[in-house]
Amino acid sequence: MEQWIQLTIDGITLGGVYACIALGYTLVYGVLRMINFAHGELFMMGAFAGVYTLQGFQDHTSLNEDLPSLTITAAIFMGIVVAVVLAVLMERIAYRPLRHAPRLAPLISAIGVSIFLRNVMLRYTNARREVYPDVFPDGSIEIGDVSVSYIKLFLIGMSILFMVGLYLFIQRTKTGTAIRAVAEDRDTAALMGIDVDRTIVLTFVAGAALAGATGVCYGMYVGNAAAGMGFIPGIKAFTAAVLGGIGSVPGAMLGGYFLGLSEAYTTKLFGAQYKDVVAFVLLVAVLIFRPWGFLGKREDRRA
Amino acid sequence: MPGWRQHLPRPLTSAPYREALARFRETPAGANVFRFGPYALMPVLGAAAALAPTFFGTRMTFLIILVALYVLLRISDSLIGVAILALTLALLPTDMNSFEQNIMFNVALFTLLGIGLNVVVGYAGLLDLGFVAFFAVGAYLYALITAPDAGASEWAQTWDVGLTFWAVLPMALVLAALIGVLLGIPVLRLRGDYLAIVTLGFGEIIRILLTTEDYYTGGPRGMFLLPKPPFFGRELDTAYELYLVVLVLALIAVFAAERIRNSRVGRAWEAIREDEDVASAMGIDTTVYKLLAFAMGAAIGGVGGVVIAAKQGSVFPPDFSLEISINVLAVVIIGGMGNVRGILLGALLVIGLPDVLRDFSINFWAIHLDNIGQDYRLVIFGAALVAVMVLRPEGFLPSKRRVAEFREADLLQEEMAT
Amino acid sequence: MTANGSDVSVIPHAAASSAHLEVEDVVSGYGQIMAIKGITLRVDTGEIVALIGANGAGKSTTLRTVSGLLRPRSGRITFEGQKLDSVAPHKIVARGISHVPEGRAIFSQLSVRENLEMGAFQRKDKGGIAEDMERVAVIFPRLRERMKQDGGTLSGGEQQMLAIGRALMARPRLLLLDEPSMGLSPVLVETIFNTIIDINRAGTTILLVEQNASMALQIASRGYVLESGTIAMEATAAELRASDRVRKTYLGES
Repeated sequence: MEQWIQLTIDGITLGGVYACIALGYTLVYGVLRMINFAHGELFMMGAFAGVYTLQGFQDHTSLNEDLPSLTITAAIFMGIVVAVVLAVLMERIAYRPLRHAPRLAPLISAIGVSIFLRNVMLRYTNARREVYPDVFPDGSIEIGDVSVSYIKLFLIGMSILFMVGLYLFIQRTKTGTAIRAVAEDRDTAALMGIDVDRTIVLTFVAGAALAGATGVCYGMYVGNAAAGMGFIPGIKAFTAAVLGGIGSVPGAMLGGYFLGLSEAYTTKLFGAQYKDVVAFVLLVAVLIFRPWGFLGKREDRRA
Repeated sequence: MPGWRQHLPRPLTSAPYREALARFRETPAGANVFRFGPYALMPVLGAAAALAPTFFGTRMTFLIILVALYVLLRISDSLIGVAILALTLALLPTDMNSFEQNIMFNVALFTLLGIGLNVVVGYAGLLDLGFVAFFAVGAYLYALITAPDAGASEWAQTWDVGLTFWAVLPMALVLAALIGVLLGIPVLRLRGDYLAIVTLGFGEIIRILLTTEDYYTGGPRGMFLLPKPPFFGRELDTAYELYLVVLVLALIAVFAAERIRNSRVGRAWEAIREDEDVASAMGIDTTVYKLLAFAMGAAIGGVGGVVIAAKQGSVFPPDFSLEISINVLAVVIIGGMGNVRGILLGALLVIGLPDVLRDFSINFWAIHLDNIGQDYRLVIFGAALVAVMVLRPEGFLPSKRRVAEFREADLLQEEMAT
Repeated sequence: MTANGSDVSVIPHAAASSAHLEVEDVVSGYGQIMAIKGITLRVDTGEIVALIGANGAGKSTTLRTVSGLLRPRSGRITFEGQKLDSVAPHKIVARGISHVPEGRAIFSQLSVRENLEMGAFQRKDKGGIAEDMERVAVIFPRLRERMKQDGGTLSGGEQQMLAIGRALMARPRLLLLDEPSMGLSPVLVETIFNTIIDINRAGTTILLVEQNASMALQIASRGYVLESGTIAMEATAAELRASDRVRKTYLGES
């Protein structure tokens, strides 16, 4: 029993990460009907921004020991900044010129961006991992026989915080409403006086901020940042977005947790080597039986 | 006559040159030059390319080959042209050292793979990011069937069918096509974007399964000691001989692909690529035709896999990484989606050039980059994919139809204010 | 074929007092197909001008070109003396033109209130927005009851009300209405058209595109007849109503 609770907690931890990345896919897909293949790379770049920030504090100050809350906040902030800047650049350079091109073109361009970013970091780091300085307090809380480390709790909490923040931004702010309006009908949104180009950029920014911040927290959780770390989580988060119904914000969250839990239980039931396979199997299964996902709208599947 | 003038470097196409050329063309002598010139030029180019290895070092040779083949591909639009091109390609590596011959083998192999992927991406407009999966299917099929017990997986040791390379080729073709259909059925009903990610996932899954299922595949240990293709009592074991095998396979693939492309099926693909909804409204069963494209691409990929397994004499899971899929995609995109001729050029640029520039270094001002071809190839590919899409979406040697499509999209874009 | 063959006198441009919107020789359309082939029309301050014509005559294309969704291939558009062609649509809204597109184009997944808020997207004056929200609720009491509902749950008539109300939220000086009567019951059409008159009396100039020519010509002061991308007739509404050609072709009388 404890083991299953432990697995559930692992699943929620991972699921939160997938959900946060999935939101970026879903938002961009909503406004552009395009899969931003490079989105997982924003997560990776965020993790690097975080690790370099913390390493900087480590090398030049003693703040990592004295005031870890400050350095962690700074690291997350840098993760957001780097991811946002990159997202704005990629939208401008690689996607906007292709807005009216044949559908394959932006997709290929996005793959190009993804390959580019990953390999730039691979070269920059000489294919080595950058180790996160040990800033987060070790230890765990025990509930009965189940123990949950602080860092895990932190990751669970942060991912929920990020998601709630994004949800409120999308649902409650004028910009968020404009994003939803553009997602539904770009022309009509323009007729309302909404600057569609700017709104699309803001959509990228929102997704990137989330990915960057999550990247830092995830990096702290696993203890390092590596050039390849965005790839598999990126695919899985996309799967989560499709599971939940691509274009749907609550769907992405639901899909993320569903996938995280499925993976955790798969590890137990079939062995750890199959945990990467389950995402793919789920994706294909959903595409066969319910292509519009859990919460997506049925008519969207071909749109 | 081929409109090759417009593809000469820009200064030559500027107005004064153009007028002079046009006036020259009016004269009887000029007309003959334009009519027969390309045919006179083709053997010269072919000879230049084929003789280059004898006289020059690797980089210079490669440059000459690249230029000669580019012009050849541009001007050869008749059967004679194709024959000269094929002959040139066959004779190219005769005087090469083994390093260069291996490069040419890789170029030819990726041309073959590119022809396969081009059916999927270029003809039918489906983005397949897991092409390596079919490549792996072919390679592992060859290994399972031909590996001697010492190099085989446990499972493969339990049986022995005694087939050779030539028998495995058609088997790989069928098996890869079948797997393509099985994978395609669930996803081809849906938008292309889903296909991209599912195939990407599939490519990774295959690699993972090759590692984990070691009873069948040998796991990370792989399979080895695979035989070379037999040929009238001897074995084809040099890079050049295997290069010729790939060349023949590629030629067959080209003819098959072009035949189908110009058939009813090809027109259906074109309709699907341009607008799937319209195509299905016209009564085209889009799923069937998409499956057909997918299966055909997969089949060619499977054949390529058999060749690489025979060439290397071994198969290991890391040989079938995502990078292969990306390379093949880059070959197709950079050469020009939808055009088989562009693929050869794409393979020269994407596969050949990085190998030739493997240890090329840049030391300029504050920039010090070593081993450009080896370490930075993927950085460059990534940027190149974006650049090609944004600046020249039709690729460097595009099909004429494709140019029209992209140009139309541009026009439309100009009209839209948003 | 501008105005030739028409059996009514053409109103001389000099007769107009103050040109609000001027469209001169505009050619526009989608891709290679030019749906309007050189249109000249004007709307004066305070007017209701009707643009009538058959399906595919280019009515919607005209409106979409004025509001910037389509960029004119050639010709000039000026609004209150300022050039309007090649201005982005969201900036045209800021200049004082609101466009209620064909088929309402309600944001079905946004609530009624959010739809109205989007209408006021460019405005920063919170107090004024709240006032206008109230004003719209007074004009269309049905919307008040449904403020929290998603736009997609409204009936056709309610959606039309929302679309017009949403456009008013931008406080436009010129309102472009595309087929407000489409798909509505006669009673609802009556209501909507009465509202259009009210809006006009409150000071908003209106360019009205309608297939329901008889309704449109009842409330408009002037009208244009569009036939395959060109202006076939141009006259006062009364003259158009009296014209044999209009009666036969567009009013369904024999």
